[in-house]
Amino acid sequence: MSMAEAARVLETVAASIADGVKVDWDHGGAPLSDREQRLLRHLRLIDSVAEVYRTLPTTSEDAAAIDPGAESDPAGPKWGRLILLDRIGQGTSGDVFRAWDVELQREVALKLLRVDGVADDTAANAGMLREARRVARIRHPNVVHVYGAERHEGRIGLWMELIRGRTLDKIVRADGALSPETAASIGADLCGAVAAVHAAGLLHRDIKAQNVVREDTGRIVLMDFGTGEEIKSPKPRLAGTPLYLAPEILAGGAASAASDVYSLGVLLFYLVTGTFPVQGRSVDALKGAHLDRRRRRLARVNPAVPAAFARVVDRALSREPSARFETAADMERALRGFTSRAQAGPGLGWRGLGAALVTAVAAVAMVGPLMRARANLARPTEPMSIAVLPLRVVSGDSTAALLADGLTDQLITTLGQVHALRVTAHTSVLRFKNGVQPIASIAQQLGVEDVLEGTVAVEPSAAGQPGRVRVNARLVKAGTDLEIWSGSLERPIGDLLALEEGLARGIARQIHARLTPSEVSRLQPTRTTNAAAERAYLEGRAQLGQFGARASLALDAFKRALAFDPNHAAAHAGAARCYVALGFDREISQPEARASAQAHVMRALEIDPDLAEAHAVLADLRFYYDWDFPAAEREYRLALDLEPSASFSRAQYAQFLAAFRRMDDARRTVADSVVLDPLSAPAELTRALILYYARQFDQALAASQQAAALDPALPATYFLQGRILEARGDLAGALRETQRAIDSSAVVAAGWRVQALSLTARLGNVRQARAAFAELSAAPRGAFLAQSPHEAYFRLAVGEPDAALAILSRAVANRDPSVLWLDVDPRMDPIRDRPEFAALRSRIGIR
Amino acid sequence: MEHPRTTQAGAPCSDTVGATADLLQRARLGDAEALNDLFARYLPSLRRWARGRLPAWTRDLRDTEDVVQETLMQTLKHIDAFQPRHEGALQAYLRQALINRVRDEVRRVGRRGVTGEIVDEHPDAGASPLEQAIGEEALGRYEAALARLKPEEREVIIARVELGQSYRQIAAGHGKASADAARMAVSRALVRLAEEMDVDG
Repeated sequence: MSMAEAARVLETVAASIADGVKVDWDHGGAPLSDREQRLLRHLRLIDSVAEVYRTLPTTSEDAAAIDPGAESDPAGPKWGRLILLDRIGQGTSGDVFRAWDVELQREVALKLLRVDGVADDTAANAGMLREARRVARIRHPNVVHVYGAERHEGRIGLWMELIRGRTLDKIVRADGALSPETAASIGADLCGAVAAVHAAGLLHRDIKAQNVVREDTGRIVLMDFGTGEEIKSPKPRLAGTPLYLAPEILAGGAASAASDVYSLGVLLFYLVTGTFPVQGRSVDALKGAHLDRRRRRLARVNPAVPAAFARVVDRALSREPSARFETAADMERALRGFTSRAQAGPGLGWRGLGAALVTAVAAVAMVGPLMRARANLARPTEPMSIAVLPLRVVSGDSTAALLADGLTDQLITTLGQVHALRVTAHTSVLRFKNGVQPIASIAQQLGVEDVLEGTVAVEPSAAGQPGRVRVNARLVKAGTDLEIWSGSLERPIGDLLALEEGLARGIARQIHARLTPSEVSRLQPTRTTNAAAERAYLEGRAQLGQFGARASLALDAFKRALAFDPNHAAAHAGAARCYVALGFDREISQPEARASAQAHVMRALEIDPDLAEAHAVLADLRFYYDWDFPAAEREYRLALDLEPSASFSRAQYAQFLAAFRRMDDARRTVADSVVLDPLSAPAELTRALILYYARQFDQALAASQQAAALDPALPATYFLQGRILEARGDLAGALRETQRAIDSSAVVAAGWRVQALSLTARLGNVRQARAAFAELSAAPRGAFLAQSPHEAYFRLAVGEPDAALAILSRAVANRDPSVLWLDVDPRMDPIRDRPEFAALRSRIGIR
Repeated sequence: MEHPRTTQAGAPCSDTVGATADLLQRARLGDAEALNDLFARYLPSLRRWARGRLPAWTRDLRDTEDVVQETLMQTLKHIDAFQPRHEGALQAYLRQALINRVRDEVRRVGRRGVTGEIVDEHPDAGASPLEQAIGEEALGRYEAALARLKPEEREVIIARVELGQSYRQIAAGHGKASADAARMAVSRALVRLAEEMDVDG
């Protein structure tokens, strides 16, 4: 027991003596020190003195003179020293009255417990009284002050301070959900209250919005301790509020401090959403929902909630009691950390960094002046554009190269989470790796104002001295070649990845004027500290950056990363991304792709609920395979909120918007994606695709040619050019470009070959095309083809619209993702007016 | 509707310090009415208090009233040097005078040899109710510790624990802002008292 808690126990006992309330001397609370035990003995002696005086005979003459006001007590039925004024509440365990305490001359609330079944049970009564008196000893500003508990006239009553205000439940019902900041502040007070309850050796067992009152002054008061049977029973009644009950209690387990923590989590969830993490109409339904792990994460229900707050809530709601906060006090600290950051505004404090602290502080020392300079230059409304060039290795081995790549990647990802920045994507800056171009030229090509460049040098260990790594970095104002800031950081080798993280976070956090509180809290380390895992992960990222047919290579790399570190969240997200791509391209079956992607993305989010990339992949999953479009859009938005500079996610979102003919939004979104990744052929290609869907064929063609110029080795650009030319009526040109795509591709998607055959047929060589198509269908991979909409395009080209509609209908039934753009695909024009086509649209869910 | 008592709770229920000092002054000068007022104010509570302090034999002999009344009279008439900061201080002062008087009384009776016979027959009969409850030695420690407290701590304990005043009365008589403030002051003073008792071991 801390000194403060011990002092509180003593004060509470003293107050009871002063009040003339019976004190429970053989308390079962936390152990007291020798001195405190002696003080308690002295207080007991004082209580005996007080008791003698209290019981001295008093003549009527004395009484009138001693308290001249006594005769003016209000009229009403009496219970002990209390006069009942009116009933203000009725509960299952008893009635609550407003009452007048004659002794202390004040208004109180009196809870008179029902006597059913316990009236004759003196042992139970004694237990209830003892526990009620323990409650009375809790002194905390956020716990309702129970003055005392007595048995009079066969009824047990607890009297306590009279609270005037509204319950949190009423507030949420009347005014809607609270802001995360308000909820966190309330939650912190409540956690403190519950910690005080636990310190007294008690459990609350019934924490819920109906049991917390906000007084008109703003004070938060935890009310209504378990009473009656709840106190004497080791288990709570399930009848009351099962929505707040921890899974282990629903499963029949005993209540514990951890189950109170769980209830606090539910309460916070409710405050910011107006709904509950696990839902069910009955206790059995709730049990089932817990068993099936159908708990909703806070960020899903209310994406506007800052990630740091959501983390606290999600942790409190962990299924495993041991995964929750160990104590309510720990949870209070987490919430206070959040509220103080929210109140203090951006940039304050390096709290809670734990082991990373040393590195982080060093990193801040290094980059501090940089961001002060940035803050001065910053315009308040427009995002600042910045490109992080690949750090160059000036000396060292492959470890140095790994560190340089990892640091670059991490800097881009981390800075990309800041809304005040527009950070050029990795794919665009990779082009300048080991390059010699002047900064001004690079900045111009990337369309950024500022460039961060740097070097990494590694000195190997020698003569018993550990190796050291030195990072030099400088920020250059592009237009002027002016060096705004430069700094260097030297650390012992060995914890390179911690260094990466520290530097990236250090820079991001130093953008004082521009960082929102939630961003500050989000910039937490999530990456592995396993160098081999990191190396494999970066390989996977590099493969994915190449776009298209390398998904299987990338998947291999991510799987290796996960073999080294199974908890590498970003590698899980990467693997999920690969499975989605492989399924879309029919490299593997779509159910298999979906299941594997789902498993990896869920694991990623379990490890790091705020991983933007994982949300982006989940969005693709929901869009491509589940056809749950509202959920997909939520995930896209969440991913982009978590990492506004994520160019690829923006491109994916643009395609989603285009499928539903939201063309203006789609074009704007894809344009942003290109700005963030200006030298990326895939980004430009996506822009071309969106323009094609929008039937802006000239612009689409120009964009696809631009993409081809950026990367002549990207076959997809030629395929799209073929589609555009086809839509413009240039069938020969279309066939030429499609064939070029096929010829320059190492792995040819089946759809490309079918497209070539369709064009061949439309150019008049129908028989040749049919024969080639039959051959293609008979090939080992042809089974996929027979179920895919690609055959529908071919049937349309050979003049069999009914067959095409039948194939499309089957594809819709199979939820084949490639039909999602049916409504905007110019190739569908021949059947667009057929009623069957309208039916397909509505079956997909396109309005 | 607001409870009728809540409006009174914070207001002093008796005279101000100035009025008490005035009454004292007049009593010293022989003003019978002033003395009467003071008696009316303090006699009942002190009389009840004395029942806890005087041995059983005195309580039965109407001595209590006499002892208290006489003590009060003597004290009030001869407290030239005493300038009460507030009523509570005067109360504590009177109580101390009574304790001294009770001790004298017990010693006087003891010298006369009266207690000897009674004590032999009824071991506790010579003890006051307080001594019977906690023992002479413990009461001694309580008194000693109480005497070492700051006057304002001592005074609120006497008012609440010994004289049984309500918090509202204590607030009025001891310059506290409210009944709650008075309650807080009493609780803290009790913890201080326990700490002071711990000094003796």
